[in-house]
Amino acid sequence: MKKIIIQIGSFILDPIRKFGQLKFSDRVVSFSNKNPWLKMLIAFIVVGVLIVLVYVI
Amino acid sequence: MTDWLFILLDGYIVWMIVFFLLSFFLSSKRVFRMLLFIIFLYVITWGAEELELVISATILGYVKEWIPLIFVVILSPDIRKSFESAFVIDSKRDVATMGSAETKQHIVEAVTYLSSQNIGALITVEKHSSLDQYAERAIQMNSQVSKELLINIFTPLTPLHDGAVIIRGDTIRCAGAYYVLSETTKYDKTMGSRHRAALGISEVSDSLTIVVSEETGTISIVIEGIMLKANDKEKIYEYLNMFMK
Repeated sequence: MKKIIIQIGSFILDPIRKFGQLKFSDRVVSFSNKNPWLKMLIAFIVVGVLIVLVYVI
Repeated sequence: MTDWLFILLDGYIVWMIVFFLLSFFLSSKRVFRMLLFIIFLYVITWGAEELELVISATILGYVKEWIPLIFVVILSPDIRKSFESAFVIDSKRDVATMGSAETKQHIVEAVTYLSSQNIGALITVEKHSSLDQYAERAIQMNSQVSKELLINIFTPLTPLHDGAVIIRGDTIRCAGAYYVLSETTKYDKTMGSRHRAALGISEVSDSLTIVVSEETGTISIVIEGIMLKANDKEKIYEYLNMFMK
């Protein structure tokens, strides 16, 4: 009985665990640390888009 | 003309806000994981509401109301740190300054000497990513790289021997720096904390770290989360040459 409960629980949790194993956040933060220009570029793009949306269109 | 000035000013302020938020959310894996979790919660809540899943939508609706407060409480140390360092100018510009041939020679000679004497050492050579956040908490040195100085720093029972040396260009930026240990399971679990620290810094920066084992005297080069054994002078020099171009 305990085994069945554990198996069902694992089946439900598996997709979340698999996503965790991808270490998505580790990769993103590590990439951002190694490329400090990226944050600046994203900020420029966001500002550019906002200015176009608010003042131009 | 004045309209353009106002638009520029507006853009300037928004840029600072966006940059600050990006810097905060990407400051550590913990903060970024929390952001992902919150996005996940909002998406699930939205999905439950759209699909009219009464129980889930009600529970998640309550949770959603508390999310901002939970976020602030859990991440309060990180928020405080971000505000403290928001307007601190990094001493390193994005241009990487690499050491001269003489510096490389001094590093190689010091490392091989320390290895022959079974003296543990941890030397990090900085590249593009700034290691200021580690250097600030260590002992500032700002001195010319020399074999003698490096050997002296790592000599056991001296105050600076238990930590890392950070090298920027031709200068020793600091000694006694501490890194976050890597949690990787790729390598042997019995690996010492010095090697784990080297892997840790290589995972979050583009630096190169040289580790000398205290127990065996073996020399390892750690870069991009990969550890390579390099026990002869030529090999270390080759790695340094490739890295410090």
